[in-house]
Amino acid sequence: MRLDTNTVVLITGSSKGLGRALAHAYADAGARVVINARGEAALEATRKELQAKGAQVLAIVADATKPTDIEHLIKQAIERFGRIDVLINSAGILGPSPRPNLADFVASDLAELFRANTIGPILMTQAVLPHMLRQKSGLIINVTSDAGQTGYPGWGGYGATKAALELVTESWSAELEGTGVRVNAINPGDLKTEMHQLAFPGEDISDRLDPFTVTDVFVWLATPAGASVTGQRYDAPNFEQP
Amino acid sequence: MKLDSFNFTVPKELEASAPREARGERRDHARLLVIHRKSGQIEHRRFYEIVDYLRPGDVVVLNISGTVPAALPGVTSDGQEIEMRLSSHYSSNGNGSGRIWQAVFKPDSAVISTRLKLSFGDGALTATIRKKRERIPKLWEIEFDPSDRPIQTWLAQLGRPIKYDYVPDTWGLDFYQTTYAAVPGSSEMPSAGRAFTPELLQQIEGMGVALAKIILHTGVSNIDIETEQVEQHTMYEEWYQVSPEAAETINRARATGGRVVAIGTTPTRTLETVADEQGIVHPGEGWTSLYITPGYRFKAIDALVTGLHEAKTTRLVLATAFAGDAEVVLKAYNEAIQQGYLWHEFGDLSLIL
Repeated sequence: MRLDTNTVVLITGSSKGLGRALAHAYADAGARVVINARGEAALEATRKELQAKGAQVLAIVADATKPTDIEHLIKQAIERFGRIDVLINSAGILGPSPRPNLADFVASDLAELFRANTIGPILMTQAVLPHMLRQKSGLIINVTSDAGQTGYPGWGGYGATKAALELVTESWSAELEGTGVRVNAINPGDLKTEMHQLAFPGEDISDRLDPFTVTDVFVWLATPAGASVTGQRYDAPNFEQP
Repeated sequence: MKLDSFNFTVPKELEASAPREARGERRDHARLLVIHRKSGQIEHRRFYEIVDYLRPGDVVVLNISGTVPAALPGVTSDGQEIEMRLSSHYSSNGNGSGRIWQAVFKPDSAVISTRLKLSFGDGALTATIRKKRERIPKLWEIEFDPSDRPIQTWLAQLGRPIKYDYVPDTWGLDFYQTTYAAVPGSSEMPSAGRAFTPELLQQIEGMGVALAKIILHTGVSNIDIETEQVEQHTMYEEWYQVSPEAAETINRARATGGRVVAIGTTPTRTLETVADEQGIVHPGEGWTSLYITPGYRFKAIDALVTGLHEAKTTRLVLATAFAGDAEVVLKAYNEAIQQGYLWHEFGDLSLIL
C-alpha cells in the first residue's frame, strides 16, 4: 500500500510494541512519521531504525496524557511537516501486574488507567483536531481491545478503559460528521509485546501474533480505498483488504 | 508555522548581482539544487541536467507572462522624488487597460498618503493615491488620471525594469525576460524559468515531454511576511489565465501517468487555483490570491522548479509546503549556501520532486 508523499502520521506510544510496528508500516508506505514515547532511549532506537530505512521521521519525547506535553508534541510536528493526516492513539497502559480483579482494584490505579487509556486519546484528538479541521481531512485511530467488548475476569479495569474508548470513538465520529475528519477503532488482537507479557507474567506468549503482522488495516484506512470509513471498529488479525 | 522557522541569512556574496550571460555563461548552466521529497535526499546539479529528472509523458508548465518596465520614476506633489513600482492592476482582463493599479513606492522612507498627487515624465502622466491596501504591507492603490495613451505605452516610454539594490548595474528589459515570454504583464520576471534556453526546451519536447503554457501576471515580489505566524499573512491578487489547450495538455499527461512539473510558484498557484479536488485542471481566468502554506495538500502539481528564496517570503513558504518537511528545506538551503549557490532572479534554481 502506498500513501501520498506528504502524508504525515503521528503515533503515540511508538517506541515499542504495536506503535513501533505501525511506525514502520507507515514509513514503508511512504508516509512521514512522528513517533512519540515517554522514554528517550527506546524512542531514539526506533527513530534510528526508521531513519536507516530512509524514512522521514520526527521523534518527540512526550507523555501523551499531559496537556503541556501534547501541545509541544503537536506543535513540533506541525512546525516540521505542516500537517497531520493520521493520529494513532496507541499509547496505553495495562495497569497493575498481575491484573487485579475489580474487587481489589485501588482507586488510584483505576484513575491512572482511565487517564492513560481513555482521557489521553481524547486530549490528543482535541489537540490535532484544529489542524485536521483546517485541512478538511484527517484520520484518527484509537487502539482498543477485545477486553473492551467482553467482561473477562481480571480484565475489568483495563477493559473498561477500552470500552469507554470505543464509545468515545463512535461519539467523535458522530460529532465530526461532514468535517472530513474520521475516527475509527482497531483491536489489534493478542500480540507478542511487552505489555502483553505484563498481562501474563511468567507465561509463554510466543504463540501470540507479531505486531508487524497486524498493521495492514491501520495503513489501509489512510489510503483512498479506506477514505470513507468512520465510526467503525476493526479486528486487525481478521482484516482482509476489500 | 512560526515566521522564525523561515529565518536564515544569505551571505551578501551569494546575491546574484548580474545576469549569468554577463559573465559569459549560458542561462541553462545555472546550478540546480535537487530535493527529493520522499527520501529527503539532496543533489547538486546544473539546470540543463533537468532532463535527467523528466520522463516521457510528463508535462512542463510554463508561465509565459512577460516582464514590463513597471518602475516609474517621478515626483510627488509635496516634492518627494520617488519611484513607483506598479504591481497588479484592477481591470477585467489583466491587460492593464484600467486606470486603477496597485503599487509600492521607493525609497522606503517616502511618505505616501491618501490623495497625494504623483507626476511622471515632467507631468506627462499623473496619478493620485487612492488608499493603502488593508492587511498588505507596502501596497497602495493608485489611479492614473485620464490620458490619451494606454498605461502600457507610458510604461514603455517612462518605465524601467524593477531592480533591487543587490544588482548595482542597469540591465535592459531582455535580461528580465524568460526566453519563452509571450504576453507582457508582469511587474517582475517569473524567474524560475529564466534558465531555460530555446534549445533546452526543444530537447525536453523531443523527449516526449509536453509543454503547457499558462499566464500569471506577477506583482511586485518584495512584500515580506510580517505576521508572527506565516498563515496570517495576506497575499494580493494576481491575474491568471489557463487556456483550454493548456488544461487539456496537463490533464492528458496526468491521466496517462505523467507528472505535472511546474516551472515556478506562479504556475503552481495558478494550477492549484483552477484544479478541482481530483486534481483535474479546468480552463479559466481571473484573479488569484491563493496563498499556499505548509500543510496545504497539492492537487495538481507533482514537481516544482523554483528559485532559491529569501527568508520570510511567500515563495519560500510555498516551496516548504511542497517539500512537506521544513527540516529538509533548511538542510538543502544550508548546503546551497555552503556550495556557493546564488540567490534572486539572476541566481540558481531548485527542483523539488
